[in-house]
Amino acid sequence: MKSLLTILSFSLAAFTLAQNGKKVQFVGGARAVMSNMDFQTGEEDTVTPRKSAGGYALIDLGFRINPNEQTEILGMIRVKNDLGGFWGSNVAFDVRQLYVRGVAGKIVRYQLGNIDYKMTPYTFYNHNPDMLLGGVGTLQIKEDILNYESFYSKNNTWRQQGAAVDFGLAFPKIVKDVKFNGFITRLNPSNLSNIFERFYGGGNLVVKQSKYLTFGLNHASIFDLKETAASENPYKNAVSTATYEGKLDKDKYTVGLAGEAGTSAAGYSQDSSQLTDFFSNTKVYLKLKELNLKLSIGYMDNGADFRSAGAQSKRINYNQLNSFYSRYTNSQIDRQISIYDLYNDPTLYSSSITEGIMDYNPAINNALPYGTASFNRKGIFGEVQYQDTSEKLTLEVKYYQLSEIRGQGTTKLRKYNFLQTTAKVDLMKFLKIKRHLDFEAGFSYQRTTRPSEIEFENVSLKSAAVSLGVQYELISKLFLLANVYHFESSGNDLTPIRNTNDEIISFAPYNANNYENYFATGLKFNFTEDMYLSAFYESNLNNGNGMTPYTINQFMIVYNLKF
Amino acid sequence: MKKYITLVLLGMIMLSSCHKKDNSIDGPNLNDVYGEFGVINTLGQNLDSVDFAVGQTAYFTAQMSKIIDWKITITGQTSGAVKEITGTGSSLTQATTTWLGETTYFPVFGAEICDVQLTFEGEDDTLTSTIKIIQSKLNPGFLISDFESGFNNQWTSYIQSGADMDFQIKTDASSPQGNSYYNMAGTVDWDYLIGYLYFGASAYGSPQMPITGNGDNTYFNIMIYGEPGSVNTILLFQFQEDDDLSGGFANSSEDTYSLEIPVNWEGWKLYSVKYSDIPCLVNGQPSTPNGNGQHNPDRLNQVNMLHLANPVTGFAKTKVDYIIFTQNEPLKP
Amino acid sequence: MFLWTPLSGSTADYAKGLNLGVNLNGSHSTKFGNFSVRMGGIHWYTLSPMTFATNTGYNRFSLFERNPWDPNTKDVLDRYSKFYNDGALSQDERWGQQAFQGFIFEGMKLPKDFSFSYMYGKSQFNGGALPKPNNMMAGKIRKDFNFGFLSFNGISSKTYDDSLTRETIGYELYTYEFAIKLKKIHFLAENGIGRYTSPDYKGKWGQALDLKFQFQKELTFFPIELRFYHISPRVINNNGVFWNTSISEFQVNSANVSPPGSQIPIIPFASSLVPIGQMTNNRQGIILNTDLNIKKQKLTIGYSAAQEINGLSDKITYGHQANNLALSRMWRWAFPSGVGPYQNLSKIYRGVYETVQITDSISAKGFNAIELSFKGKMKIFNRELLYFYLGGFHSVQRDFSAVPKYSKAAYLQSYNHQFEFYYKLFPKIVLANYLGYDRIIANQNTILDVDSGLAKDQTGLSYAIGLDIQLSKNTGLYLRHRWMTYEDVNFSLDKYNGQETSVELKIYF
Repeated sequence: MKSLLTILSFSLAAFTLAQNGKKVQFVGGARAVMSNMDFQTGEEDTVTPRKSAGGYALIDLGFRINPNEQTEILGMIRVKNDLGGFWGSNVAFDVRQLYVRGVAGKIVRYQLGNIDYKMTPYTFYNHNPDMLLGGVGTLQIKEDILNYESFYSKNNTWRQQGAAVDFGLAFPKIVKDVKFNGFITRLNPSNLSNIFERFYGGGNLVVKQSKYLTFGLNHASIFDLKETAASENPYKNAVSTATYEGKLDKDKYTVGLAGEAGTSAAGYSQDSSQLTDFFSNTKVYLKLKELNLKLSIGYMDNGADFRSAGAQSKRINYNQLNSFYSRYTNSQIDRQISIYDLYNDPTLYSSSITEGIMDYNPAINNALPYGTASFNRKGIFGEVQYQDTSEKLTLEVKYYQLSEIRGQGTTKLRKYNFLQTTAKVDLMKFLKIKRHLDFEAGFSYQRTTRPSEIEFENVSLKSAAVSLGVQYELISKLFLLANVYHFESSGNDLTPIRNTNDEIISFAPYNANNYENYFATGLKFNFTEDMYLSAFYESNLNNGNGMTPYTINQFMIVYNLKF
Repeated sequence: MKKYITLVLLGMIMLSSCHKKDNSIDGPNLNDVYGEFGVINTLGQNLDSVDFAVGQTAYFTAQMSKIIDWKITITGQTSGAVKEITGTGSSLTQATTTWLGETTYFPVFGAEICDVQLTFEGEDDTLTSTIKIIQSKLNPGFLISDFESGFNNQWTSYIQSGADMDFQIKTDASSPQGNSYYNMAGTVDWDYLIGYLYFGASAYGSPQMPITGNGDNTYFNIMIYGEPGSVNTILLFQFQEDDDLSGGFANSSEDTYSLEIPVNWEGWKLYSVKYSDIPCLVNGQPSTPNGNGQHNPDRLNQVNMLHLANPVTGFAKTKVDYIIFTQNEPLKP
Repeated sequence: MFLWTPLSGSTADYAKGLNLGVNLNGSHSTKFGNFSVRMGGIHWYTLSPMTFATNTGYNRFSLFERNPWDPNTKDVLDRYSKFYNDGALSQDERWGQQAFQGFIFEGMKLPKDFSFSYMYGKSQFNGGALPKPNNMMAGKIRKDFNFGFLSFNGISSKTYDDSLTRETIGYELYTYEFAIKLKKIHFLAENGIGRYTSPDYKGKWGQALDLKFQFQKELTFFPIELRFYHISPRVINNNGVFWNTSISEFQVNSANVSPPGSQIPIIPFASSLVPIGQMTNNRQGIILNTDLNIKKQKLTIGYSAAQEINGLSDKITYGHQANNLALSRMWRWAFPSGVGPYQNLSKIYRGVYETVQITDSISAKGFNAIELSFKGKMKIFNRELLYFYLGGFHSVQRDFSAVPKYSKAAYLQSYNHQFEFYYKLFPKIVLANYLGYDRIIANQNTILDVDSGLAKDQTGLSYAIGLDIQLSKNTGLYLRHRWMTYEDVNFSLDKYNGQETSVELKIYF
């Protein structure tokens, strides 16, 4: 007799490399970086050093241990030696990652320790709303470094400390299978005084009813453990959503409807102003298989009080100083975080889930500062994705036309237009030449408006960025790199000033008259697929919002390998 | 089957409901922030005369037409003491302006009439008033000395035989509290030590100083003067504990905690530190205490105050006043 | 990586570190040659003696005190018998090389026997992890021949005098080096030009020359090396085999920009009394070295006569051989300068030097030295006994002298005798003994004691005994105990005596 349900079985190989019969493997990476930087200001500056230099060499040495076929342990230590630290000085030892994972009874997969996790774009998701310009070449090298340093992955996971489990059930009738996922992570420990033990946990179940329909229920919640602090006011942010996708898959095309909708509640238990709200995001798509073209159009409606820390935490908190050349000019004014800094300085980034609203830069992304999960936004969006069959050309275009739901300081609402495009061209295939020649271009444009006859209510802010990157194989394994980008922003807005409870208490005028130009060229030698040496020169001109321009020129040598 | 799919899809779409137009606003009205400034209710206060010593407090009120950064400056007509209260908002209330009699800039307030001035960032409007202090604020805690009663003969002092040595209690208008302070100055070009003053618990009539708190809720506070143009003074405080309650201190078996304060500022400044944050130092480096390893302010047998300076830097000078241990919070003079 | 505890009695008092940093290497072979790149560091590297190397000397040193880099030997007596046989010890890869952090690009086996290397980064004299740029760049191009080689070498170092990075300090040195090795005579030379620049010192180019004629025993019956060197005071490079004794500004700035992280031992600035083979700038001289082997007795003799090119310094620095290492350990883990009862001692790595002031007018001083090393062996009770003697006889006087001046005509006379023997008590135990004696005598034209009115007259004496015990194949236990005494009869505060015991357990795996 056929059983009513089947437990889906897993093997460790589902998420790890083959063991090659070895119980212990060494994994990790190493990197050495040297930098010489030159800093020039447009006005007389007798205070700021013009030149700086630095570098480091580090090794991440991981021990991957498979005590049995169902278990894997990974411990990785980092040893970092700053350039100039001789005889043991300026050496740091850290544990970079540590986890145990495995399959219990061939049914439940688990992972303890460091976990890279995500759920849905509105519950737990590492959006990347500030890195609008991709590109091969030097920008790619720098982006790879900062992604590695902060454990950012291409599939938008957050690196957390905790535990995760998942398992699945298969059914003979009505639904095909159900998958369960759960996680719990610790955001901060108690100080046994006024700070609670804070956790972030949740899970989802995804039901595949048939090849036509999949739906899921998701929940993620930040919560304080009561009685772990001498306080009666714990914090909670709970987000519950439903995801769904229905599609019709034909030989020549696929058409479908997909989306997510849900609610959130956030606040301290004793506060009267608990924020609750809901959101919905729906799109229909059409995929033309022969053309490899996907078109989608949708509507999103994220409530003004929708709060989801796991989806709205930003990689960068803009309320911080740059870690190099943080001040300049004789007045030692703050040097604001620029596009260049986003690529150049991995120390700006964080992998923390932050329960509060993080500061953002309106010039870089005002339309969706917290990615798709940005609160107080509604409107339509569309997307075109195209890749020809021989992968000569990849094209992606996104467009959002949004508005606020609730006005800030006024009942008038801001309106947002946001266009983002990326094109990648493999010219080796196009031109049928022997050497690799890759070209990537990106363009991003945003406009924020709030027309009003009252001057201080009027908002008009535009920003645009264009980026070009080329990578050409001069001789075998040796590549010439070249990158340029231009970013500019002009207009005005009012940025909210929030108190510690994230309530807006005032507004700060934000006036943009800013542009940045970047140029870089260099060489890269690929010893192997996982090992390269690159030396490049780059120059970044920033007009300092029209007031205090500066130029950063940098020569870098990067030696990177993974094993 | 198609029926099921259609039903589920419709259900999902229904879930995707929309927000209706929201007529509320986030944050203050822009007009409150960027509208024209005006004073609606002028500067008021709850008391014309206040006795801080009996626990009275004063507060001020006003109402403006918009949210603005405001500052209340209270200046003692006799002492010149200054208290500043700042805030942002469209009104001044008891919650934002309560004054307990404390001081922002030394000296501290005495019994005197004070001028009160309310100013606004970016605006010329200034509102004024006066308030009379009947008795100034009392500071609970164990006072080692405010130097108002002269030199206690049970203190121990040593002064190197250097040049321009001037270690004595002085009485003049520059005192931040009361009328007197302790002056320490001199040139010693062969040693870091210029002079010291030791406060033994016996000077206060007991083998341990009468402090009731523990290390985590006891604060050591002192007013220190940085001599303009001279940043070479180092004040070293050693806190010697009678861990075994024998009535004395043995360096080999009892705790000494040391606080090194480079006096690198100019003018008077209140220096406060939680007692449990004071490290054990040996030759300036963190070390393990020789006693029970716990910060026990209630077992303090002696507090040593040493005036040090690098011998190559020449003349060093500083002044100190109002050395006091407080409970639960740093001194708010 | 090292884990270390100073045995302070605290279970929490330990240190972990990475003494030699993180090294990354990569190589790529092509039909044009082999190319390799190194990054990070510490990399041990050498270019040419003048540009980037450390002095290896003439193997006249005491073996009694063990060095951190001394290995365990297969036989417990090997360390001493190898020194007896070869005149040199087994040294690890660091011997003669300089420490470097940064980027090294090398090309080897290039067409026509060419090779090159390029370095950009920091030597320990550019150390410190401050953001203020402080880097060196160096390189060489070399062509090998059947009979030797020719290479062109260069080094340039630059840092900044001010925190705003406006004013540069730096030096550069460019040399060519060649070796012609014929059957009976070898000819080695390095010659170049260098200079030092700073905001206050616009240096002119100066010459650095080191010539060696090595006459093989086929020609002269016993090997003789005749060496001439001339290093202008304008030439600065602490990464080479010679010390800077001419430009104190460089010394000051080099020290200022170094910490934290560099731990540069202070190199003596002043007219240094140095062992034969150690060159300094602002000096020229000749060196003669020879090895005489008579049956089982081996004698090496060194002679040098040198003179400063310009009279620049009114100070002389010198060391105390008998108690040198033990004295240096009084300031463990630090390199203080101006210490001691008369503030005239400075600690360097594994040594201490003293500075004496000259009180008459500054001249281009003359330096002379004779150094002897005698090695012999015999058997007592059928067990091997190796005995070594080292003698140094130095003088520093006002002018050049062809022979040493062992009289009060010299500013400073320095004599030292070190006698040591190693007896294989048992197959795995060696008994080690050391007797050291040094005398320093200054004349009336040096600083005099305020009380006695007399010049330095110093005597150091040291006796030490020890055991080398081979516990197992890769494990050695080394015990040393020293009794020492020292006194300057004319400077009453300058005296000490004491004992020192050390226990070293060394395990290789």
